[in-house]
Amino acid sequence: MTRKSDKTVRFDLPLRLGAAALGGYALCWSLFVLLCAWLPFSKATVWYFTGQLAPLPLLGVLLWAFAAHGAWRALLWPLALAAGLYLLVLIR
Amino acid sequence: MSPLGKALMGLHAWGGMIFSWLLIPVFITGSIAVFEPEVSQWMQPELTAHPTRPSDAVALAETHLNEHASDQPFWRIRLPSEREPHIGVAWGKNPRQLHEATLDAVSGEPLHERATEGGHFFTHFHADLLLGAPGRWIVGAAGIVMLAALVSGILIHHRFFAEFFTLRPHAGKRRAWLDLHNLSGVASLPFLLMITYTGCVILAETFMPAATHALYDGNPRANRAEVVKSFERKPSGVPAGMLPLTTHLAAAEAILGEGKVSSLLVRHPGDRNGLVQAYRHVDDRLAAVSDHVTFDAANGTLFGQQTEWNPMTYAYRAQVGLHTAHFGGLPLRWLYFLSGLLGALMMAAGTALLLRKRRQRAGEDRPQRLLDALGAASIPGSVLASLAYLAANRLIPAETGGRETLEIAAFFSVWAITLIHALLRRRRAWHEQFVAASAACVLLALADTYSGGLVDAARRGVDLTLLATGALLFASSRRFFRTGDAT
Repeated sequence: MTRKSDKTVRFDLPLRLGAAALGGYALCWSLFVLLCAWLPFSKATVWYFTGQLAPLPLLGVLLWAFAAHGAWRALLWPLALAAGLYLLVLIR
Repeated sequence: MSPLGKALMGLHAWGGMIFSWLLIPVFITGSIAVFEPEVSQWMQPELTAHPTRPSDAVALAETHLNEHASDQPFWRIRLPSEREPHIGVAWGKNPRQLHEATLDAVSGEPLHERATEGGHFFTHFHADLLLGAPGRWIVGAAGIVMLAALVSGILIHHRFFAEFFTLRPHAGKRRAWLDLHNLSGVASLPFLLMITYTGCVILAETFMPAATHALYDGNPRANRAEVVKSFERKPSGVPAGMLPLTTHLAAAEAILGEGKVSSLLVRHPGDRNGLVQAYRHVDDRLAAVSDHVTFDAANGTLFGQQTEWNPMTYAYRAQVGLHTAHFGGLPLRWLYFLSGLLGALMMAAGTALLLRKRRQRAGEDRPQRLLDALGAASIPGSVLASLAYLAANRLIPAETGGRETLEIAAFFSVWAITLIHALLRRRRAWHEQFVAASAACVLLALADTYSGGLVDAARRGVDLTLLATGALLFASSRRFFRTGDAT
């Protein structure tokens, strides 16, 4: 086994754990901020709507983090998606 | 196994086991919390249970409050219900921190029940491990992992079942654990998905405040203030007589329904601007929202009412209601209780399965011993800790100061002892702790039955449940945890 693959194996789990926790949280946060900015309903309606969705992005990213090929891919996709959603909020 | 299932096997097995150390106690305490008032009744034998009419109870409460709290700006009266058949009165200057007392529903005499957190301790531990906001983050994270373990379990189970029976029919004990894991998991799957999802929704209010920041500048109470109408006014300083509270109760029942008022809140009694607010029961509807109506205390005119809700708030509160199970009555509570324990059994069997697999590969190394000990502390250990809490309630004298804290200390001390015991006794600890828990169940049930428990329906129910639990624990200790052949 080469040094490089040793390193990959060593960082595989921490990267995936980071993807699940940070990626999931960031994606959920930016998705909610986007919904709050875009949905044309009263504040309370939007708040109680997003509240019911909260487990979904976190669950999705957690499953993705361990199903994705390659640990870096597991981490970068949710973070990129979160950044993209956040950009949409800023553009508006 | 499908490729996706294979990829998620590590998350399912290891993520599931590590978080099961927390999730099993959370499921066990959550199942007990379904019967919170009954457990509180068991833990306070001083409490009486007499059927009474709401108006009689309100009149008794008003007499007590006039005698003891006529100068206080806030009064609260909890009417007797089937599950809490006594009167709760409370008074003080801050409606969030009232001085409380319990009265007999027929005589109106104070009951001087022993100080205890009662059944609420289990609800509290279940929701936030007694740690407040950090606890809700921890339990929330465990809930998300639980959801992932359930979804990945469905993916793994999908083809696993067929392959398993065709390829490896000989793996005796391991197969028994797997069958138990699958059986309990499949049987309770819809419940587990529902209870875990709604639990995460409730906790997300704390751990995912994105919408609160985006809409309300991070003020967590602001959204509630927007949907729950509040009818208040400042005291005038002018004294004025108050209509009897029974009159207000009758007016409230005309709007909220006869026998549907759960509690009354009086603001500034004896002031010209005094108000009486009545809250409706939540136990006959899915959504945990309480309709309320407010009257002018002096002349009884309607000051405000809320019986309609923002539909999205109602949907959200329906998820809360689905989780807390105040609707649906006794049959539903038993269904929740048993399904929750079935969920704990599913996790316990999964843990036993993984521990066995690892032992076959790695033998009795140090990590294995630690994993075994943590498993024992979370499965029979958390049961023993809960029983220690109940036993402490009977062993600590009723007059002892600070006894409610001592009861909780008993829970955590015994839990710590089960971990130390499991580290010292290794695999034998499983069997010993199961037998000890079984014996503790039977002893507690018998001790309560022979000290007056038979007269009270709630206590009888708790005692019978303890006996049944004791029998089940003993049967499992024999079936699965024979000495030296633990998992």
